[in-house]
Amino acid sequence: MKKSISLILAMLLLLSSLVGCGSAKTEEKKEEPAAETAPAAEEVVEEPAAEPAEAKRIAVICDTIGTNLFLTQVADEMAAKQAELGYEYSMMECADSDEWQANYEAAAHEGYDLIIGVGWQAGSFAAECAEAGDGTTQYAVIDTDAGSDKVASFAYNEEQAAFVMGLMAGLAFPEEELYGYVGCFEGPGSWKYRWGFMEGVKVTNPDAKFTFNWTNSYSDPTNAHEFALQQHAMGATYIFGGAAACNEGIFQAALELAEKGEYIYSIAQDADATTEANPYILSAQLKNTGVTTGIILDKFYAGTLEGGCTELKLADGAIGATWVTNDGAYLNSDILTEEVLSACKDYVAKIISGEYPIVLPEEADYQFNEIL
Amino acid sequence: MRKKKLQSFLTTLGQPMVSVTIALLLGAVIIGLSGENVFKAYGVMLKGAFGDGYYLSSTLSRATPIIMGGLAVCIAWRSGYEAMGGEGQMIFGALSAAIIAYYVPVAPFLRTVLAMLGACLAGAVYSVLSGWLYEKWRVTFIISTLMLNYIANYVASYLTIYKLKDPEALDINASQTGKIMEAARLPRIFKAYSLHWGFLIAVLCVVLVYILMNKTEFGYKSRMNGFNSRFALYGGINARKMLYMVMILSGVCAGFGGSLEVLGSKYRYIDQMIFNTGYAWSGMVAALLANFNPIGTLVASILLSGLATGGAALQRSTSIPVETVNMIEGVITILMSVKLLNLISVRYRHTRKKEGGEKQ
Repeated sequence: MKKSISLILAMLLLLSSLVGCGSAKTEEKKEEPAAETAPAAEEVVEEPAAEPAEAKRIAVICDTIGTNLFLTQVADEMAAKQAELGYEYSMMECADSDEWQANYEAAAHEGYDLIIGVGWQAGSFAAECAEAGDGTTQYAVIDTDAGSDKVASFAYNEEQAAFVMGLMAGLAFPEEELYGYVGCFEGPGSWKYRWGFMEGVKVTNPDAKFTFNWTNSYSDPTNAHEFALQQHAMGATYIFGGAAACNEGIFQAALELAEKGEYIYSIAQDADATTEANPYILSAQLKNTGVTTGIILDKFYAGTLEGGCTELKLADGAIGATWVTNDGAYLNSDILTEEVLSACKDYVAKIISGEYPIVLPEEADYQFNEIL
Repeated sequence: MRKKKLQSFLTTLGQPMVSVTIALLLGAVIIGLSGENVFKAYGVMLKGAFGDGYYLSSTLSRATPIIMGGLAVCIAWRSGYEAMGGEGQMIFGALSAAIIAYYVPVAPFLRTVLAMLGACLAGAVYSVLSGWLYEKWRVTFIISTLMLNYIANYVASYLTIYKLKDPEALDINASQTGKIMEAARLPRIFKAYSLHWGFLIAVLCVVLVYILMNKTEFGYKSRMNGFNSRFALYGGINARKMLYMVMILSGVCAGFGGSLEVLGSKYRYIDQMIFNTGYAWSGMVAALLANFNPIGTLVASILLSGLATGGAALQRSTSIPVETVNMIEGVITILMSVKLLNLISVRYRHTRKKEGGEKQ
């Protein structure tokens, strides 16, 4: 009994000493400007003098980044611009909805100058924090509309880029009966991709049939690999890679099939992934969250970051298609011939000028071709 | 007798502390390997969990559904029914609360009350379903409850994506229900902090479940059933009635926990909000740690919640990547699950018995 009690007391002492360490550090951090005069030698060595021009503090709140190009572009841009603009920043990765809320509230509480949220989950939390705040922290969200005039929202018109990808597929594979598609989640969120792709294909191949599979994850390449093999077995040569980091499975399947003399071709999402090592990745539907992050940072430093929603289109350069609107690392010119690319470029010019409007209908009102 | 009770109480409370300390030492190795200063990292973690009023309030707020999930496990497991359906019941509880509080056209206060009642009912019905499967078809609880969890999550996903999607959302991707009006929410205890009245309600539930389990005839019978169901049957306990009573109470706790999270914290049902956060599973770990003692479950829930909020602080304030933070959290959770203090006390008793025997 005595042993148990003494053991517990010892542990409590240890815990409280650790808590003590924690709070000491906290105070040091809070009193950073006065750190010069503080006797804590170690801290003074790390930060010898408080700089007169305070560095801005920026928080980026997003899902776990991993290898998701949609998010790595943001992280890369934050790192790249740091040297130029001199800010301090923290990438706050959220594993669940509670962490989204907790990180938003904590970032607001910790007095960041700018909080950038990436993804639809950011919308409502950004709006709530912005409404509750005193205006000292600015808020921006990427790839969603927070619906608040205190949050600068940057959304994308993905249907335009998806249309170009479909157009490219139809032009490059005009004889195909069936076109494949592997996406993450079937839901209203994927509709602009699905619609854009189907409409693009139907420009040259109006009777095309489509087949869709869903990984129900942003990071499950194994499932995407299986779906790619199945869709190939069904007769598809072109498979739209709309499944974020899962696309890697489609690319792997293409390499494996090529060893057997069978071929499938696909595209990547968000950032260029074309490479000579895998010539079956033809292009990428670009959603350049890095460019958007740069736009936000520039506006923030220029003092022009204002609330409201901006929809980024082909004309803004934040969305696009590799080898049509942007260069890539490797061009498979056997498939993406000069004719295919110039036809795509013509359509892009027409879309940008408004001559060829891309208007997303409601899914319920859409007349589907046969879907297998 | 009192001495024994005190010892048991201290064991219940002290056990997580001992495990956490050893886990922290192991976590220190991981932090050291990732190149961070161990003391700085733990300082950040502790501050992020319990450092000041703000962080403490975040931890207690997150602990609320964990406590209720833990109570659901306490009731069921202590009665001998090893059900793991807290997650599904909590999902339906949360979803029901979000729907009722958003759509039912009555006064705001009534919406809150109805939402809570609806959540209790949803949790109870879903829990009874697994009880019925067990009673009627002998489907083991582990299989039925685990499968029912998945079903609940997918049903809730379907509804939030297609049928009950927030009509005011501007983003087509936003898979969540509409936001509950302010007057129908559980208010925050302090305006600047996220802690809401749901936490105090959960603490009240802990007391009620403690009394129910330890001071009432039902509690006695259910515990007897848990110790030895055949003996309980021999003693005249109606096993069928007991099964359904236990499942209802357990489901009510889990469903109610879901409603507290919706009404006090998120103000809507967000797709996967119970599934991804693992509240019910954390509640189960808390209950297991505390040997199904409701008060111990409360303490363990707060510790587990602190681990999550502290982990989030560690990730956002240091260069340690989220994967490493999750690893540290995992190590700590595993070690917390090892009932070290029990082992120590058993060994201690063994030695004393041995010593006593040798003396004789």
